Amino acid sequence: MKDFDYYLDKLGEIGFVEEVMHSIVNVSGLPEAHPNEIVMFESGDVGQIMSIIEDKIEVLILSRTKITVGSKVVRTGELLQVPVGDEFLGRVVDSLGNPLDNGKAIKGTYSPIDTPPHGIIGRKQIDKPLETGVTAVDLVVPLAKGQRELVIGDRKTGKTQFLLQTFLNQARKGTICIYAVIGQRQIDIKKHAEFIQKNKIQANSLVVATSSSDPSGLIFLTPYTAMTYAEYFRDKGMDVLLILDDMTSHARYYREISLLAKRFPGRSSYPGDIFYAQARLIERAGYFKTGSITCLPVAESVLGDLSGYIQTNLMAMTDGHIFFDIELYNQGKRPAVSPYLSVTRVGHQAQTPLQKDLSRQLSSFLVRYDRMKQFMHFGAEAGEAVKRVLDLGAKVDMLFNQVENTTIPVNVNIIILAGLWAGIWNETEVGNLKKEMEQIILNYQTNTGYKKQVDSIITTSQKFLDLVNAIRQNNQIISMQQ
Amino acid sequence: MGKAMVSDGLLQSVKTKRQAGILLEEIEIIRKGLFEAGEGAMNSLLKNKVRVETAEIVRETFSKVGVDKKGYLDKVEELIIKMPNVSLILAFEPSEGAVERFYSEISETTGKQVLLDIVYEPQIIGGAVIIFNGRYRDYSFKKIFKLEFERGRNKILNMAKERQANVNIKH
Repeated sequence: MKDFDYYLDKLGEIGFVEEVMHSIVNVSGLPEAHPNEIVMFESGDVGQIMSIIEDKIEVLILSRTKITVGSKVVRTGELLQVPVGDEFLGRVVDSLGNPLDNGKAIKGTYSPIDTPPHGIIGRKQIDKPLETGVTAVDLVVPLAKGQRELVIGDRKTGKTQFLLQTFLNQARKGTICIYAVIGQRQIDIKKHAEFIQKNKIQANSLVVATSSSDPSGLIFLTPYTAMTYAEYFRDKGMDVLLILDDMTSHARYYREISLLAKRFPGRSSYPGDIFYAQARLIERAGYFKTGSITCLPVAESVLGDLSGYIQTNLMAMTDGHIFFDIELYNQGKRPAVSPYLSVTRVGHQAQTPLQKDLSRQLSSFLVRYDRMKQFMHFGAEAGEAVKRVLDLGAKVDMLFNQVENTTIPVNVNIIILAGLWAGIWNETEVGNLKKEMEQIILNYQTNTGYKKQVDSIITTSQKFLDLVNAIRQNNQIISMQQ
Repeated sequence: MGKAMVSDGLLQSVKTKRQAGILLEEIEIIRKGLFEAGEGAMNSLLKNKVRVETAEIVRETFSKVGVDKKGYLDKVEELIIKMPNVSLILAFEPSEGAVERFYSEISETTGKQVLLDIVYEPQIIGGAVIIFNGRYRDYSFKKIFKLEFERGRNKILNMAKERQANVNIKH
């Protein structure tokens, strides 16, 4: 951007700040101003025009310094744009593209941050799976590239942990991963930057972050800027994973801005266009002919209530949701993904027939297992069949329990699950079972020959039962670990 | 009470923002005086607390039969507040005569009764900067010189060097 005098000379219009209300200022003058245009204050700070009323203009401040009454304002004739480019990979920037990592300023081509969502013509049917590396999700609620999946749960239920695991797994597979930190603590931003450095995935990751001490306007723009970066890489033909953490905070900041601007409050005091503002953003993700943007917006629930206003809005905008249950978390399950309340609407269509069959059988088994567990609460005496279900269920729980910051390839999950179904570990003690599972995972990740063998047996099986039978007939693929 | 009734009086006496500020203060004083007891209270107030020209106009208006005194003062105040401002940034402090000339010229051009907001800013060197209705027009020497320097930078530098060289030779 140029300086104040440049725009004053170029456009010959001036305005004066008449009133300051936190992150909104009322400006007089600027007769030719138009909505969403960027204005510049004489201090060099910028703002965005929110609305134009008869004799005043409402401007949303986008900078950290305080604006005073009487300050001069000029139009720029430009809409809000951020610099984009490959140089942003490995960096941490704010919602205006300014570096936050003490690195040098980044220059790039400019791209508007609020663009209409892509039309139907440029989109494609979702057909590629997206592996999260998290067993419970990959087997029960699988995701696909271009899917928009809501990640919802109470505070401290492991949502961010799951998101970082997915981020790491996808970054290692070459997907461009963008994490939007929306109005969180400075320490959280630092942790994300350190996570990227520690795992050496700077080559294809980017963090767009604003902290809670930033102006509301800047925080509000964070997911839009992150989406603009995602679109830049998508247009280069790449697959992008975009995490928006979190959209309930985003809605709260939008509510704050709207109430300050004296917009009429709607349900829970949110403005009437809150659905539009967020749906327009999330609709920009999807599976396109050029590339894909998989979007994982995050929503925070209160006491496990899924029926909140913003939560249900987000559910309506996405292709399913992964629910992190506080009860499961308190029971010690990690990740605390609820297989019963989680939904994936398009994830299954990207799966192989074997995975689809496995997913269907596993879901139905988990429901049966849960019922049996509840039944046992009454102190009923368990028959052989019930014992078998409970025993297998406990082993599946063990498979789902995953250590932080580890990712497990989906094929190794399939082979272990097939082993459980085939009864390979029926006589194994629970304590030893975990070790054996970990050994298989390690072997798959380090031994190319073993990996080939596992992949081959999975590829040749059309149904889950075929795979289970194949393992029963030739259990060496699992027992060779022991 | 229409604009016509007040336009010939107090409003005509206001040309600058400073004058408008003084008049608004006087209106406030007179308005408070309306509710003071005693026949001579208003006369004493007009004699001692407001300027002579304001006092004359107000006295004349109040002497008319059936006039709504408070309504009149409120209307004058409202019209002054609504008057459009023209900011005039100058490199010198203008005399009263100069202000009169600027005012008549600007009123004629805009076709409106306006308030001049005169700002003294010697940094502009000469000329003037005019701000009206959010439009900004810079006719200052500062801008002209700046443009000239930008355009003929090399030429000016060469001239300066030549002059310096001549001075050195002479010495």
